[in-house]
Amino acid sequence: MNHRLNSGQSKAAFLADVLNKTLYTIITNCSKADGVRDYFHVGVVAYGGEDAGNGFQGALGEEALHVISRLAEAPLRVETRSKKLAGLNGDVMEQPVRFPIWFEPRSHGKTLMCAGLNAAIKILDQWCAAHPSAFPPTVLHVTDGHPSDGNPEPAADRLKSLATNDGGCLLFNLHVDAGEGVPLIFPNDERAIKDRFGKALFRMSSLLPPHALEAAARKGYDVRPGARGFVFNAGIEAIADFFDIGTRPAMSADR
Amino acid sequence: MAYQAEISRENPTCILFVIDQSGSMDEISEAGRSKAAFVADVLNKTLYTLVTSCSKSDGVRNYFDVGVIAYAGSQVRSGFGGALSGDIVHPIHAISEHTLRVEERKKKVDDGAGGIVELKTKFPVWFDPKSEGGTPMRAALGRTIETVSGWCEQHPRSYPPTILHVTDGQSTDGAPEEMADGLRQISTKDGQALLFNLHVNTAAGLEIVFPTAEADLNDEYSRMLFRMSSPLPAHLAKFAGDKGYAITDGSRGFIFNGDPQCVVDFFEIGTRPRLVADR
Repeated sequence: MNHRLNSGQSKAAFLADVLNKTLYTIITNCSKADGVRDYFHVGVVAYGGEDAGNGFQGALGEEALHVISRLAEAPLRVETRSKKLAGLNGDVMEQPVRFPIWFEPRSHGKTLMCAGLNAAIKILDQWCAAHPSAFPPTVLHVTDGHPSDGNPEPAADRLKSLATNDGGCLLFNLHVDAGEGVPLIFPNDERAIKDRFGKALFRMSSLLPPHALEAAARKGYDVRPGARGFVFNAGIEAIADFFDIGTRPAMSADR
Repeated sequence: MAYQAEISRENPTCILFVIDQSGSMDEISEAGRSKAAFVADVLNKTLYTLVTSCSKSDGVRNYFDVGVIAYAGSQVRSGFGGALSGDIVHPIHAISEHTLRVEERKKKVDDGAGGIVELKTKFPVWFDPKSEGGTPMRAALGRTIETVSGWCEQHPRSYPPTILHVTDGQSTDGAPEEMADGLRQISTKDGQALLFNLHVNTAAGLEIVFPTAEADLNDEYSRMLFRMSSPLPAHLAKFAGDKGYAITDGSRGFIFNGDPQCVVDFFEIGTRPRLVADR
């Protein structure tokens, strides 16, 4: 994944930014007066090159999943980013913001999607066994290409069959396009997709649960009954919204 | 070797856009906009990019003479309005000074910190979309021949003219092939005029991009547009290859069933004669 966006950033770099921002947002949402509450266990599986492995490095590289308070303590580094804001009269203003980095973009090698999904299955199988009454795991899968290690549908089916007493694992798929193709956001009909590989990703995707449907509708998406957690040909806006909507399991204010 | 002339203020090159504005261009594409509106946006953006690439500290330098020929119904006319409507071709400096209007558009961009910000941008408009009537392609190419031959007489040492022709259908005033042949025979000392054809479609057809052989195409209409198109000169072939298109020796400047991304790339590749930074 090394195509350039209009901003000059590669897609892989923008995706890494969105992932890092999402982790930071989750930490912020879990921060209460008494500290960061461990409402979430979070992991990143990165695949590409020759294998699928832990997307975290350094102190977090040892384990596949971490409690969110551990994540809060151990970013790789904290950068200062110049964030663009829309000012009055349409001027662009820039504001320095602290930007913690947990995950760094890499883009090389093959698309070992089956290996990536199988690594996720191994992690989630154990997690579900250890947390039988928890809200089931959510998997956000991001890809730009055709798998180079075989048909990923059986692995996706296995992943979705993992469950807690509260329901099956949710698998949401984000397909990121190189160019300016028309994005297809949360479709409910496979026929809307021409691309053979896109059709497979549609079938691999879970139905959007009610809390995600609501979040998508609030963002202005026309979500129909049967809408899947799937975006095809995502542009930067859809990438940001996918992460936002996909990481909002129902959370009541205080537990 | 052809297509080597340096583009300078003394020896500018000519870029001519020939745009089909027939009724079928009002078909709505997947993105919910008409083909005509989308092509107009891309053309306006391309003109702005040409102006920008000629803007130096001393003003807009005349590296390019640019024209738009619009055709529909019984009309072949300049695609420019206002002060520019009298002639087809104008120096880029004059174009920079005579927009129809400058619109304010909103654009969502990467905010640099993993988010999106909606910014207002200025969008200069020179060309408005229209879509009505038949497709007088022969008449349009006839007018193009007149324009290009006059220009070449005046600029014998220049990089030859590039013609980007955008259409979505069949000619309604007779076969255009011989006109295209005549157009490609007009030349400067640096080579023959380049005619690149872009066929745009909204239907779910598979696009054929920069084909090398007539046999790659499966109907007579697309084969004719192929024959009408110039091979891509080496520097444009390389540029198209860098954009990820499969280019082989003999690839033509022709796209059939182009989707929106193809339209954008076609304009970008076609308007990329070698520009050296400062002359």
